This record gives sequence, structure tokens and C-alpha cells, in this order.
Amino acid sequence: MFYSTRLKIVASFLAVSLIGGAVSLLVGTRLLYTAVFNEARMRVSLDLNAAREIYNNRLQGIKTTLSILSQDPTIGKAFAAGEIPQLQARLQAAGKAAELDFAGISDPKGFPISKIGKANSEAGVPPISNPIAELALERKTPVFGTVILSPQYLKFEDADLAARARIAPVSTPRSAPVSEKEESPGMALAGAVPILKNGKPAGVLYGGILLNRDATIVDTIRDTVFHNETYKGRNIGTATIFFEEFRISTNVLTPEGKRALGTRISAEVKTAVLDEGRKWTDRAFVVNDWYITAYEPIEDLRGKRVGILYVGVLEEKYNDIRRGAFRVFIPLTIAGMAFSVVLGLFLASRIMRPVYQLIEASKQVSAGNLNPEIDLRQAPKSEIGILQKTFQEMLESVRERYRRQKAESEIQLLQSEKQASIGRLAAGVAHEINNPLTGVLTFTHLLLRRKDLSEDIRKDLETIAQATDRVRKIIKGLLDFSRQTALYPESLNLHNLVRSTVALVENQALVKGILLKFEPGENIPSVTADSSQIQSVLMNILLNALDATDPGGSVTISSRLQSSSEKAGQKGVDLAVTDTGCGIPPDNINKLFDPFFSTKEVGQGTGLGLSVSYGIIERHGGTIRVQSEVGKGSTFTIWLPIEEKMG
Amino acid sequence: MKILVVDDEPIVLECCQRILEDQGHTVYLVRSADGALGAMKTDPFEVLLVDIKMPVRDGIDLVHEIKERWPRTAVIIMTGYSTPETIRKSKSVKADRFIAKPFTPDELLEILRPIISQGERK
Repeated sequence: MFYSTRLKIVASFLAVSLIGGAVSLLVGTRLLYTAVFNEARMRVSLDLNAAREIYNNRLQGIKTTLSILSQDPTIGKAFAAGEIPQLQARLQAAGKAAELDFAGISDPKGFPISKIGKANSEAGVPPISNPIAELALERKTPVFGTVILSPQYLKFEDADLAARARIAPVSTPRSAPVSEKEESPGMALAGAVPILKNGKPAGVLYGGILLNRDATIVDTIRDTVFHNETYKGRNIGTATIFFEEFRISTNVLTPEGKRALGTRISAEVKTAVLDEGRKWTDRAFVVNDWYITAYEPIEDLRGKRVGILYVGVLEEKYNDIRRGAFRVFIPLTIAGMAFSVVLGLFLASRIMRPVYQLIEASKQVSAGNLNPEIDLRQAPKSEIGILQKTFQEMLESVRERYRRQKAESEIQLLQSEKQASIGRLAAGVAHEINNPLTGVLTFTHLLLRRKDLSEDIRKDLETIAQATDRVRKIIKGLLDFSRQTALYPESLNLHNLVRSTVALVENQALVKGILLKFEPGENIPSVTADSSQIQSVLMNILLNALDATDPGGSVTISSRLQSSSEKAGQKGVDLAVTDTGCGIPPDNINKLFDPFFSTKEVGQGTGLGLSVSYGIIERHGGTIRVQSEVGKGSTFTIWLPIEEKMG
Repeated sequence: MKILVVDDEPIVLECCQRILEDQGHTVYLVRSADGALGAMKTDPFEVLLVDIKMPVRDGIDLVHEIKERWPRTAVIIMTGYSTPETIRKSKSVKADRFIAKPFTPDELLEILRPIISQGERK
């Protein structure tokens, strides 16, 4: 099947752009996503720090409130004087102003003196362990921090607080299973300041906020850190405070749109953060969505990990950025491919134009036009340009050869025409002259028979007879020349022919003192030829050679296999006659085969011999070539084809 | 011996008459193939000398007919156009001998000699 080069070029362009596009699409979006994801992770990590600040800030608020209260002279006096109602009123006012969920004053044994929470008869008998107050008394110094408050304590402090603290665990995908409980401890931000009397603790002022169900901190985080930004109706930024693994304060929403209180952290995060105390930043499954998250443990006053502070950014936003990038990249890639196809087509046609031109030129050359148009002005400096130039050079040499062949064939045609027309003329003349010549010959000879002739008349008559004989020979030559007879070809052993011909002229050579040699070639096959005609040609050439050579010279006949130089590759036999004679001047070589051309003295030759020989060899489908150098000698080469039909 | 010479050229006829009559033969001359056939019908000749190239009907044709009708008549073809082809044609019509023009008296007599000696033996 034929695939055009242009198609191949376009296809490779397409393939390259396809691969490039796909790779850049994959790598690009991957890189982009990684960059965006890392950026998001970094941001979330920073956001967590901000969240921690907000968390601590709230604690600081409690610290400030309690510090001021402990220095309050009203409280001091009331405490010292044991004026409980005044103390109660002051605590309640301060607790309300500072938005404290609970506050109170206990004696050094933990027995409550005053508290802002409602009294609860079902709460049991005090003293009930107040961990924060205990620590302050123990250390005799103010303490502030996160603290876990037992359900009993919460009940004692305020029944409403205990109710608020209770959060039922909710099962979500990926969370660790847990058993349901009736009551929940509370997680609080709290502080306690010991009240000293004469260097000894006389009581302790405490207060704090319950974090359970209190969304103030997490919403502050959301609003200040994430600017309450929403994405597809959901908050991008979320924050959560965990007690152990349970969300007790969060703005992560359930699918129903409620705060996801009671839901649990995923098991892997729990292990990393709560158990191992590591900070965690990665994508994580939160409730029912993927978030890019940051978690860090919350430690209580005694340094125990009791909860987790979390911030997270909805991952979907970043996924959408990636999808958006895909949406931009894919059309870009397609556009790139389309562009590469167009570019490929353009380049291919640019590259192929000279090639097509060469194909067209080749077709024209095949059709016989040796001057096809080749635009070399735009020849590229590439292999194609070289091809164009080489093609042009090849054409030039073809044209040159064509011109030479044409000239040669014109000469040959001229030679043939000359032969034919002279042949016709000769035939007519011969016939017409022969009749009267018969008269001349007959009566001259009849006269010569007479006995009564005077000597001078007899001499004159003999001159007439000799002259007439010459005329007869000329006419004979003309007739030989004009012979348009069919050949009588037979299988002919050239070496036998040469030997028999040499035998005929051997004496002549011997007399003149010329060395006559025959150097037969090897493996010379028989040729199909008219033996008597070929012999007359060989004889003619041999006699010419002997005539041209001075005594002491040599005439050599040689044979060899030879493909024709004129008839492309055709096999044949060369029969060469080389003499060491006078040679032929270049001017005469072209006229050599013309009828009546002779350099011999008048009466010595008819000038028809070589012409006749030429005709004979031509009719055999062969050629006669001549090489000659004046003063050095000549070589006449008869070439006869093997397995060639006679003309 | 009675010899018939057929040629459209008077000079050739005259030459043959002179050469052959000198030798004592009876020579009869005609200038066309038709003339030759007419002469043969009245008096069959022993030897015919025939030129090939003649107007109306050529020598080859004439010899062919003569050899068919008078096979015992010896025929010598003479022509001014002596090529291997004419020789072949002459042989094909069973001409006895062939002589190229121009010829000398001796050459003609040389050609004739075997025919004459054969005729005298009969």
C-alpha cells in the first residue's frame, strides 16, 4: 500500500503532539495539583496556628477575668467577711460580662462557698472533685488551661451545663466504633486563682467556659481565618474542637446541614494525633467529605492529650481547580495538535514540493521531454536540494548523451541514405552502361583478332581494351555497392573465416615484407552471418591495411568478446585489424565510408570498398569502428552481434 | 548450331551475331520475349541467349516458359545487372549458364563451349 511521505510527516507531527500533549496534560495537572495541594496544606497548617491563637486568646480572656476578679476589693472583702450574697452577685455580674459558663469560689478543701451555677440537689454531696481548683490549691499559684470536667462535677456545678455537655456519639464512615454512653464529660477552658490569707490558701476562685456545643471559638476561626468563604453552598474552611475523638464543637456540617456534633475522627488521624501526639496535615475524610486538614493535639492542664484542634479546607475546591486545569489543558492540547497538523501539512508540502517537482520532472523525462521545469531558486540547502541539483546534472548529462546519439544516428542515417541513393543510381547506370560497353569490348577484341593490323593501331586498340576493362571494373564495383540483396546467413566460425582469408593474402604480405599475424581470442562463439560477404569485407580491410603499411611493418588480426557500445549491452564479437601503416588524417576518418572516397591514385581503387563493407556489416546488424593516428597506424574493428537476426 | 539471341539492345544483338557467326553458328536475333517465343514455335533453337531486363516481359519469365515447353533447349542468361540475386533467380528457372555484361568475345565463347560440345555429341 502506498503511504505518501506527506502523510507520514503529518502523522509523526501528530504523534509527537499527541504524546507531548498527553504527557504535559498528565504532568502539568499533576504538578499543578501538587503545587495547589501543597499550598493548601501549608495554608491549612498556618490556619491551624491562627486557630490555636484564637483558642488561646479565649483562654487568655478567662485568665484576665479571673485575675481581675481575684484582685477585686469587693470580692476580697465579701470573702473575708463571709458575705455570700455579695460575693454571689459580684461573681454573677463578672461571669456574665466575661461570658463564663461557670465560676465560683471554694474553700481550700474544695467545698463551694459561692458559684454562679444553679444549686442542684441531685448533684450529690460535695466536695466533688474540681480538678482545676485542686491544681491551683496544690500549686498555690493561678492555673489556666484546658480541663476535662466529669459529668458529676458538671451536674454539681450547673445541671444545664451537664445537659449541654452530653453529646451522643454518631457513627460515620471511617470512624472507629464506640459504645453509646448516657453521660459525657465536658471539655472546658478554665482557670483558677488561689486566694491567700497570710500566705496560706484560704480559698480558690475558679471559672471557665464549657466547650461542648459552644461554637464561639470554631465559628470565630471560620469567620476570621477563612473569612466565612463558601464554595457551592458549603463553607470552605471548617474548624473543630475534639474531646478525645468526638466532635464537641464544630462547624463541619452533616449532610442534613446540622453541626456534626458527636461524630468521630477517622481512625488514622486519631492514632497519629491523639495517641502519638503528632501534628497531622494531609487530606482526610471529615464526616463525609474530603478535606485538606490540619490537626494538633490539645493538652489539658496536666499535659495529658485530651482533645484535638482541627481546621480543614474543602478539598473539592482544589479538585475543581484541577478539573478546571484539565478543562483548559485539553482544549489547549487539542488546539496544539490541530496546529501541529496544520504546521505538519505546511512543512510537509514545503519539504515535498521539490520532491513532487522532481517526480513530475521524471515523468516528463520519461515522456521524452528532456527539459522539464525544475525550480532551483527555492532549492533548500538540504539533501533534497542536493537531490534536485544532482537530478539537474543527471538531466544535463542525459541531454548531452541524447545530443551525441542523435548526431551519431543522423550521421548514420545520412550514411544509409547516401548508400541507398547512390546504390539506385549505380544500378541504373551500370545497367545502361553495360550494354554499350559490351559493344565496345566486343568490337575492340574482334578488331584485335585481325592479323592485318599495323603495330601502332594494335597498340591503340589494346589501350582501348584496357580502358574499357577499367570501366568494367568500376561498374562492377558500383554494382557490388548497390547490391540490395538478401543475405544468406549461416552459422559461421569466425576464426576459420579469418584463417582462410589470411591464406589468400599471405603471399601478397610476404612479397611486400609485412608481418601478417592472427591472434585469436578465447571462447569466441559462432556468429550467424553471410560467410562470403563477411569474407569480402575482411579481405577489403586486410588489403587496405597491407596497402597502407610499409615493408617491415605488421598487420595483426585479433578477436575478442565485446558488448556493443552503441547497442546497449548487446553481446557480440570484435574482429580487429591493426596495422602499423601511415594512419588516416582526422579529416578523412568521417569520409572513410563514403562511396567513391579514395586516397589512392586514380585507377588504383574505386573508392567503393569500405562503403560496400560498411553496407554489408550494417545489414548484419554490426558496426565498423576506426581508430587511427597518423604515422602510427590504424585499427579497423568489425563488431558482429551474437544471436542477432539479420536485417 | 542454331542460336537465338533475345535482347532489347540492338548493340548487344549485333555483338552476339558477330561473335557467334564468326564461329560458324547460325544466329537469329529477336528484340522481345514475344519475338523469342514466336521464333521458337516456328523453329526450335538449340541454344538461347537471353537478356534479363527487357520491357513488357523480362528474361526470367521467358526462360521459365522456354524451359517448360522446350526443356532440351540450352539457355544462357546474360545481364548487365549481375548480382547474386539475379544468379539465384537464373538458377531457379533452370538456366544452364550465366554471363555478366559486358563481356569479351572470348568470355562468351568460353561460356558457350561446354554447351556446344554437348550439343555436338547428341
